[in-house]
Parts: sequence; structure tokens; C-alpha cells
Amino acid sequence: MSKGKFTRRTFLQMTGLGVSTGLLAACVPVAAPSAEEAAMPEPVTVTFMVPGSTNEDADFAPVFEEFNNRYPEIDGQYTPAGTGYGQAYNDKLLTMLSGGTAPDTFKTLFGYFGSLAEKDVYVPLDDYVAQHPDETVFDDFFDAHVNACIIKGQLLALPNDGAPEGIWYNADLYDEAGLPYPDWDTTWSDMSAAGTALTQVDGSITTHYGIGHPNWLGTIWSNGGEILNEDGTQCLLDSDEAIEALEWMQGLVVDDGSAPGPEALSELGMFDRFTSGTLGSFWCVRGCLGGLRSIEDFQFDAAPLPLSNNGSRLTRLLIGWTSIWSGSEVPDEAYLLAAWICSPEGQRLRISRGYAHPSRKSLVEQDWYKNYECERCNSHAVNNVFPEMLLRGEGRAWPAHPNESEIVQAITTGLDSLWDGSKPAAQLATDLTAEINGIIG
Amino acid sequence: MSHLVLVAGGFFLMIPLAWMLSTSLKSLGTVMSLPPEWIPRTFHWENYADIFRLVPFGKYVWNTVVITLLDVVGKIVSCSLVAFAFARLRWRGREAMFLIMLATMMLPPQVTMIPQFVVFKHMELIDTIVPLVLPNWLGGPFLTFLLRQFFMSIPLDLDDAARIDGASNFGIYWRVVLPLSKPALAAVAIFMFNGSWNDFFGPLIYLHSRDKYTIALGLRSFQDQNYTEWHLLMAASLVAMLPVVLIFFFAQKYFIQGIVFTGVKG
Amino acid sequence: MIPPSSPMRRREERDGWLFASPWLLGFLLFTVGPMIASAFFAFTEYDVLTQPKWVGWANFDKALTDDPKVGQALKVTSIYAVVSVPLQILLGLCVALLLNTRIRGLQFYRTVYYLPSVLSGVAVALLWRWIYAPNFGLINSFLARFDIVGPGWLGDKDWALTSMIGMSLWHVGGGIVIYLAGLQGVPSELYEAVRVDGAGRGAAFWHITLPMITPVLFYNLVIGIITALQIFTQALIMTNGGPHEATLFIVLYLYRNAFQFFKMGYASVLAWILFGYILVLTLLVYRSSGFWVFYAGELKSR
Repeated sequence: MSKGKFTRRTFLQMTGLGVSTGLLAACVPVAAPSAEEAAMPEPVTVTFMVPGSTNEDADFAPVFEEFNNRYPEIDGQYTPAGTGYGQAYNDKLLTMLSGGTAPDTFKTLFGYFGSLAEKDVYVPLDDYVAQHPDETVFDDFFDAHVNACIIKGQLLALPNDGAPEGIWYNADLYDEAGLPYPDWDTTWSDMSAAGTALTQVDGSITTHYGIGHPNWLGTIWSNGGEILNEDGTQCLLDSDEAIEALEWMQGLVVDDGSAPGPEALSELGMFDRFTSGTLGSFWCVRGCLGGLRSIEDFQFDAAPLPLSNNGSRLTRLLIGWTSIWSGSEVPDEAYLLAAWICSPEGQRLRISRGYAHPSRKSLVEQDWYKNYECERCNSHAVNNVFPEMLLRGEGRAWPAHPNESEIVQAITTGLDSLWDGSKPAAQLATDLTAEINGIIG
Repeated sequence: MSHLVLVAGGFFLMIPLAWMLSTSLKSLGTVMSLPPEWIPRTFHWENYADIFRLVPFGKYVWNTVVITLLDVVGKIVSCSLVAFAFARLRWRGREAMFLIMLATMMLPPQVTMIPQFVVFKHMELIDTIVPLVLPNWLGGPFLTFLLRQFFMSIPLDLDDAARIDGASNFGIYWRVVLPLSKPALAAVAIFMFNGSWNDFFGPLIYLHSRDKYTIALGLRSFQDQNYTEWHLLMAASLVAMLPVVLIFFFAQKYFIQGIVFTGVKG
Repeated sequence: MIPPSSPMRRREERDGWLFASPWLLGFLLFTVGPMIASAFFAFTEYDVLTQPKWVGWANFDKALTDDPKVGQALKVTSIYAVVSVPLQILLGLCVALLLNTRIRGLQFYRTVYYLPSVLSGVAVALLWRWIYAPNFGLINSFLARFDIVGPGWLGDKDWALTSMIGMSLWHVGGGIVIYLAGLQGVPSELYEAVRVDGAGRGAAFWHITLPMITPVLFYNLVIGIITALQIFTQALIMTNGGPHEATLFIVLYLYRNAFQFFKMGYASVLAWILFGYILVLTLLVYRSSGFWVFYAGELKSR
């Protein structure tokens, strides 16, 4: 056998290939600056990080193009983390913050704002807002959005978007069942009844569920319950209002069988069930429209959250906190970029082609927003019910808390026993209250 | 009989692949249905063009190729040297060093990730491919251990014979051990190629500019805040796995031959 | 054979360190520092953003006496490892033996069996959600043909761990490649020798194939233990620990502490507890290897 020789040659070839690839790669980024570029003063580079889904990349492109036109002395760089939406974004952000290499401005996801604020990660923005009234247009923000950015009296972020949650429903299924569409007067019991009516069972398999899982936070709030007390030192989940809300949620899955339980959701999530035409309605923010607009088989529409047993409604807001890193060397320029991204015009450039929810009162009045149309959208309500809830003062963001992600994790884990009926709602509320008090105590 | 089992098993393994292919050709609005539809109503071949349009996929592929090739070569060179020391040379401390090497695999990387990041930051190597490549040129316990096992299966008389002929230790490594370890080196190359190609956490943490990103990162960008673009994700995943599959398909014939053809001639 | 003080032996002594130097360098530069750092963090309260505060053994106390999740995590992780590692080894070996024959299209079959190991990330999550789907999934619709109602798999707390073990078998492709490489090292003369003796295929397997591939079996066992006890990504993307913490593996739990709850100190304690656990198991296997692992070229003398 003469394979020894062959091996050595292959080995050398591979080594050579590797080394030359490396050299090639090292050479690629080196490019001499042209004379024209050299003459200009070096613009100050400001980076902005978001998770960077494909839609987000496309939506932000015009925003940065316009920023760099308006501020030639600043080079605003859109630097997506490349993670899409998921836990990985937080992993990357945390590592960068810990290593001292964080971007100048960045977006914080739900669950982290309170924790990071406590670690002095953000530059307080109050002075900047006072210095730059024209760039900031502060009064145009929805109150709920601004409130979500204030911790202990300091403004630590500007909201670049912020989505309240509503009900998305399959209008065709409602029509077939002869049910009225959900609207501003729809109550929990109306939703339960519609859920039962829309549920279709074939043998042992539920082919169509009438209603999705209600979001726990908005449901508890709507009924007058609270998760924590005002200063975040005590859990209030075991109040009668909160327990009543949990009981309603549990009833849909366990008693009525009209909402999918854990097993059904392991087959297909709520969003995918809805687009497949086998779910009557579900809870989601306006951003869902980005995916729902491609529905081909049925008409759909959006409605406000149903009124709780005590006749009120409070929807959960997901805020796009845009902050300046306290380690940034160019906080002034970073503020101009953050303010631009959150400005009415910056948001218009992004949202007029994308599906985030504006944090600006003026934007939701504009024609492109109010009269949005899509092929299978049943009415303009797909855009308009969301800001309407905000204007009625029915929207609120989770109050920032240093332990928020641990609290949320405890609740989502605890809800497993609600959905499969292994614990009565009152028992779950008591257990969770003890667990959460342990976390914040 | 064994042929039949192979075919049946292979068929079972191809079903998920066929399903991925079918999913990749649907539209977002029809991608999910209950019960699942195998044949898309309209074939959306444009999904495959879209992934290149929506994500700088070509750029990501090139970046991944560079990193992967450097990793594979580095891994083969360095791991084979270190494994040779552990398998074929007598030196004080060998056993202890080997156990220490094994021990480094036992601490979950989640708690050493940030300190490691800080080390590379002090070396000013963040946002370069060095943190992804350099450690692979410096051994690495998983594959060193594997090669050690193979090297220890080669009879020692071969070394002694070579020594009597005046060969140095490097000569034994180069002329005796490496030529006899082709299947093992191939396995290392295949593992490393696959591992580097699909590595997510390394590029996630160390690369900060988009023009340096790799495929594994690109695949995540189909996850939006409220939903996932499954059709594009599946198309991109299929495209991304193609090079690895092709490499395996063609590389194996050089290295993993039928049992009849090989044998150690002592 | 060669006297220990000879120049040749001294050269071997020197070359040992020289050949091992790439790993030594990497270990000193990039591994040992972060390991020491995490050992230090174990005695502190550390949120990764502000200075760590020394708390002595408090984190250990909490982990060992005051946190029921640690017990749950160690339990499910151990069950997972105890069941999945032997299954992976057996299945991998069987398939490798099947693939080590001469049949038409062998190259194709090998690729097909390796394919699952190539696929990674979120696509795998969707794939398995479909395979395990309770009503219309691949497995349950197959079972339904025989009038068997399959379980809820990933959504059922009694079956979620089993489902994860099933998923682990999907990745035996890597093991198969190692076995195939190991099988190449079996000299064909040995087979010819037993054939002359008139022994059957079974005897050839037990007396030649099996002993000759014990080095790679040993490797797959050790690496199998290490990776199974550190299972993380699959749990994160498939079940996120649920339902009812049925798949709350220890690394998932320590990851949550480190990156979601800002408790890197506590996460480090959990990591070092796992380290100790794996170390003990590995040392047991390592010590036992003298009895069952056969190296054709083992260095006996020192």
C-alpha cells in the first residue's frame, strides 16, 4: 500500500489551503481610503443594536439612511445582533456589557430593563431631553410608553415602539357560527361562550379551538389584580381579583376545552394555529400583523381585549426601550441617534413598511396608519384598536423590577399547573405568591 | 437482511428531510395546517431566492467557509500532535496532564464564557475571527482524546522499528502514526467541519459587525418578535446543511473504505 | 528494553512536553484562567455587571440544602444520561456494523445516517415538534394506524423526558463515524485467521471486532457521559425546562441563573457541582478501563 505518501500530501495540501484561506481573509478588509474620504473630517461612529430579524433589518434601513443624511458628522451604524428574537440576544448583550464592549445605543427586551437599570447600565436621559426638545418631541409619546421608561424618577430610555395586546379573530369562523365579532363591549363571558361555540371536536381530536390562551398579565390587570405592590417589595398574586382572573383562564382550557392545553400547543403554537385557520381567536400585539397579513384562506380582524368581570380592561404593553450605554464614549451623538430612531419621522420611516406599534400619538393619526389595508384584513381595526386602547388609558407596561426575569420565569413555570388543571387557581396563586416573595425578599 | 434494515432505517430518516423540503416551499400564510399538508398548493421556489435577498447569505457562507477551513486544519494539526504526546511518548506528567485535559471538558462553558470573553477583550481580539480560530490551533480536549484512542491502537513495534532505523519522534509521528490514522483524521475533520459550520455561541459572542457574521447567526434572523418565518427558516437550513452533507458524501470514500481493503501491515 | 537514562529516553521526555505544548499553551492562555475565575465567583454574589461580593460558602449552602430545583435538575439530568448514553452507544455501534459491509449505495446510506447530525438549531426544534405532535405528528399518526393512542410527548410531563431521550438518538451519526473509523483499524488478517479456524460471524465479532474497538467504545462512553450530563441546547429550544420542570436539566438551570437572573455566583456553584459529579463518574470509567479496554499500542513502562 502506498497510502502513507498520499496522506502526507493531503495533509500538506490541507494545511496550505487553511493558511492561504486565512491570509486571504486577513487581506480582504484592508482597503486604502480614497483621497476624497481622507479630506473629510472623520465622522463620529455611533452603534445601535437590536436583535435583527430579517423584517427588522429591512425596516431600519431607511431610518439609518436618513439619519446619516441629516447628520453628516455622525456615522450611525445599524448593528443587528443577528440573533433574531430570542434569549440569545440577551446573552450577547450581557456578555458585551460585562466585557465593556457594548454598543452606544441598544434595545432592551422585556424582562431585563429593571435589572439592567439597577446595575447602572443606562445613561439617564432627562437632561438630554431638556437640551434637545426639537429632536425629542417628548409630549407626542403615549403616556404609558414614557412611564415604562422611568425608573425611580429617572428617564432611562426612549420608547422606539411599544405594542399593546389585542384579540385577533378569524372572521370566517365567527360568521359560520353566526356569532357577533368581538368589540369594545365584549366581556369575558362573551369570549368564553364564543370559544365554546367555535370549538370543533372530531372523535377524540379537537380540530378547531375557539379561543387562545389569554395573556396572564393583561388578564390579571384587567380584573383589577396586581402582580406586585407599588414599590415592588411584595407579591399580590393571591388577591381575589387575581385569582378570579386565573380561574377564568383555567376554565377555558380545563372546563370548556375551548382553548388549547399544553399538549395541543406542543403540536402547534397559538400563532401558527391561527394562521392554519383552526383557532377562533388569540391574544397578540399589533406586530403579529406582519405575519398574519400573508394569510390566504380566511378574513381576520383585530378587537380590543375583552372586559373583565368587573367591567374593565388593561392591556399589557411591550416596550422597545432604546437606551444609551453608560460606558459609551459618545453619549451626545448616541442621544441624537436614539432620539431620531424614536422620533415621529424616524418611526414613520420604519413602521410605514413594518409592523411595530408606534409610541407616538401623532403617527396613529396619519393616513397610512389609520387606513391600513391588507388583502384578508376585515377592516381598518387591525391597526386602530391598539392605539385606541392606549388613548383610553387602558394600556400599561410591566413595572420594571430588578428581579423581573426571575419573577416572570416563576409565573410561566407555575402556569403549567393552571393549564393542565393540576392545581386550582387559588392554590397556584398562594404558591406563586410565596415563591415570588422569596425571590424579591 | 441487514440490507433491509438499512433501507428501512434510511427511509425513516429521509421522512423529516422531505417534510423540511415541503415546508420550505410553502408561503408563510399556509405553512402550518392541521393535519399537515405534504404537497404545497403552490410551489414557492422564490423562498430560496428570498433568503439570499433578505439576509446577506452569500457573505455569511463565505465567512463561515473561512472560519471552518481554518478550524479544521488547525484542529487536525494541533490535536494530532498533542494526541501523539499522550499516546506514544513516555514523559513524566503525561497521565496527570491527560486527566487535566479531560477535566477541562467537565465544567459547563456557560460559566467560563464571560471570563473567556474578557481574556480576548484584553488581547483586543473582539470582533475578529481569532477567538473562533486560535483555540482550535491549540489542541482541544474532545478531538485530542479521540485521536489518542486511535493512536494507542497502533502496535508499538512499528515505533521501535522506526527508532532502530534512526527515526526521530517527529519522524514516527509523521511517517508511522499519521499514515495509519487516516480514518481517525477523517473523523476529526468531519466533526470539526460540522461543529464549526454550525457553531452558534462562538460567533454570537465574539463577532459584532454584521459583515463578519456566519450562517448559524443568519439562520436565527428568521425569528421575529411574535412569529417565526418557518418557510424561509427551512429553506435556509436546507441550503446551510448542503455543504456539510456534500463534504461528508465525498470525503468518506477517501477515508472510510470497506473492511476488505484496509489492514495494518506490520 | 531501552534504559531509562539513555539519551533516547531523555529526548522522549522532552518531546512529550513539546508535542503537548499546543494544548498546554491553549490551556494556560484561554482555559485555566476562566476556570479559576468561575471557581472564585462560586464564593461571591456576582451579577456580571458590578463587582463580585464575597459571600463564602453561602451559595453552596443554598444549592445543597435550600433549593429544591437543584435536586429536580440533578434527577432529570441523571435519568437522561443513564438512559440515553447506553442507548446511543448501542444504537451507534449496531448501525456502524451494518454500514461496515459491502453493499450497493453504501456511500449514500452512510450519508443518510449522518444527515441528522448535520442539522442544527431552530429547524430541529420545528422538526421534532412535528415528529412528536400529539394528534397529527409522525409517531402518533403511525401509532393510530394500529389503534394506539400515543402520548402527548413533549407537552406531557410524564413523557417529556422520554421525548428528549428519543431526540438524543437522532444524533448518533457522530458516534457512527467514530465506530466506522475504529472498525477500519481492525486488521483483516485477524478475520482471515478466524475464518481459517472455521469460527462463525458471531465469534469473529466477540473475539476480534469488539476487543479491537474498545478504545473507541471507551471514548464514546466518556464523551457520552460528559455531553449527556451537560445537555442544554435541545432543552432550551424544545421545552425550556417544562412542562412542570420535567426537563429542567442542570445546565439549563444554571444558565438561567447566570444569564436571566443575574446570579453568576450561584450558577458557578451549580457548574462546579456538576463538574464534581462528572469527574467522579469519569474517573470510575477511567479506572475500570484497565479491565476492558484493549490498546494494541499501550505504553506500559514509564
